[in-house]
Amino acid sequence: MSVDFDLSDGKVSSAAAEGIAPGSAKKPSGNGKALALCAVAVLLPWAWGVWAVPLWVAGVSLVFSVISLCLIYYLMTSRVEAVRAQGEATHVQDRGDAATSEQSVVAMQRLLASWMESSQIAGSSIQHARASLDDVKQQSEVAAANIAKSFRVIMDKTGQQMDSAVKLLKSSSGDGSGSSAWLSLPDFITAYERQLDNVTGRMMDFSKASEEMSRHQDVVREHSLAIDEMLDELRTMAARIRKLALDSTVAANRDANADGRWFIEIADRIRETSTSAHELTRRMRDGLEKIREVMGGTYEELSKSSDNVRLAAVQAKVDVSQLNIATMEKAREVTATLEKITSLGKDVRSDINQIIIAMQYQDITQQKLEHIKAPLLAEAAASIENAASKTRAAGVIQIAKGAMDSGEQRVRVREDLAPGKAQKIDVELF
Amino acid sequence: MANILVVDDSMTMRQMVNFTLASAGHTVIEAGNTDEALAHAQKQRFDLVISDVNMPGRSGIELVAELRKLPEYKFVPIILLTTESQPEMKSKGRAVGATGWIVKPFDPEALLNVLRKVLPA
Repeated sequence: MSVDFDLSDGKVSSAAAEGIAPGSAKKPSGNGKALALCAVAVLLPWAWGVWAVPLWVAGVSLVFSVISLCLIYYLMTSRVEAVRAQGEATHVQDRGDAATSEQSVVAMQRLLASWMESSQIAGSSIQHARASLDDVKQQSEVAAANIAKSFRVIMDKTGQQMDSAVKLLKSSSGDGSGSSAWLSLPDFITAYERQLDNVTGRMMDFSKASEEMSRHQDVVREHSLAIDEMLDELRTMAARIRKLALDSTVAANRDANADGRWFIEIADRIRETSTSAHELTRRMRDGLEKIREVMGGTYEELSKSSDNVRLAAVQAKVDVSQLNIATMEKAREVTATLEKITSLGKDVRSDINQIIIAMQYQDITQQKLEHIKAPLLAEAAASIENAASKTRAAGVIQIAKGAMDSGEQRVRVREDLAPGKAQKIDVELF
Repeated sequence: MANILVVDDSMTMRQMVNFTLASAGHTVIEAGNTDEALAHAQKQRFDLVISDVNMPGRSGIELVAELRKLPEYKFVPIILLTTESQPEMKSKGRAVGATGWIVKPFDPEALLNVLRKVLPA
């Protein structure tokens, strides 16, 4: 783009440089008539009074009248010259103004074209920038909406996680309402402990019964020892009876005809042995009776303890089974809650990822806008600066035109606009 | 867990990458430009470098080239994370020794998957 803004050819003020036009020659005017009238006006009072005054007064008055007439003539001549010079100057200025105006119009037209071009460039840039801004605004709104939505979802899911965790904690610690079908963890432990105490107590009872049975066995052992002693005595008695029988046989063979005193002696000894045997039998019966009694008591206690232990074991088994069922149900409930919390955690993670992506979109758009903004503004600024430079040039023309209103200014402007002087003006010429 | 250097002129992007990597247990150091990144890289050795391409001053491509000149970064994975997706740019990145090329906006899960692939087990 270039503007042929030819200010240096000297034509702008060429007419002014020529001075007064040659065709404007001095012309005879009607000043003679005026001079005659002035002479009449000056000399008429002198002619009317010359007859009544001395001669020398009349002479002096005449001299003064002539001098006055000369002064009037001089003043009138100077005025006419001034008017003539003004007329000629006006003529020259009109010619210069016409030329300058013509160039100014051309310059103004070019300036307007330049402004229009600059305006179009700036308008296009602004339109582009506006479109970019609208795009950024739209994307920012979408990103902000997505972020807000994701945050809401995250808050909801976090709230659900909190509710699940609190519910789990409450159900694990026992809410005291007693309406829950499941035992809380502390209650579960207490129930287990109670069952364990019960079974342990029964086992202790069984142990005591066993100790009692051991004591009873000692008693039986003592009685058995006593019976052994009795059996030994019986064995001794049997040997004694065998000896008596042998003695009786020997005595019978030796004293076949005796008086039978040895029979009496043997009978006494047999009676004695029989009595001892009877006594031993009674004692053995007593011992066996005691053993039977002890064994019966022991058996009864053992049976009782065994029954108690068995009942306790059965009860413990039932209770523990119930506890196990409750525990398994609780474990399933805890697992389900943890799975729900985990699932919500994954959802939250996904939502956070969406937020990260949305924020990236916003950041990328912002960076793109930054990249677009600088060239657009630079282009618009350059265009406007160009137009401003041309406007300043046009302003110089107007100053030059104004300067032509006075002679000195006209001369200065002519010198400024003359070839070789144009570079002094702060105008970028293309 | 890995020690990772993240280079990007956008603070938002650095924070997004930092959040993603830190939540996976990695240690992240941030740098706003190539010079800052090189200063960090000379102070300590990183297991992985993630860099933007278009940055004020020297670009991410130049950063990769400079890092590859350092003996301790000859085999360190370097991922370029950028909005650029032209094949010519990718070829430049590959030519200077970049390990991978991720186009913004990145999916955090995808980024972590890439890290699992390029980081030594």
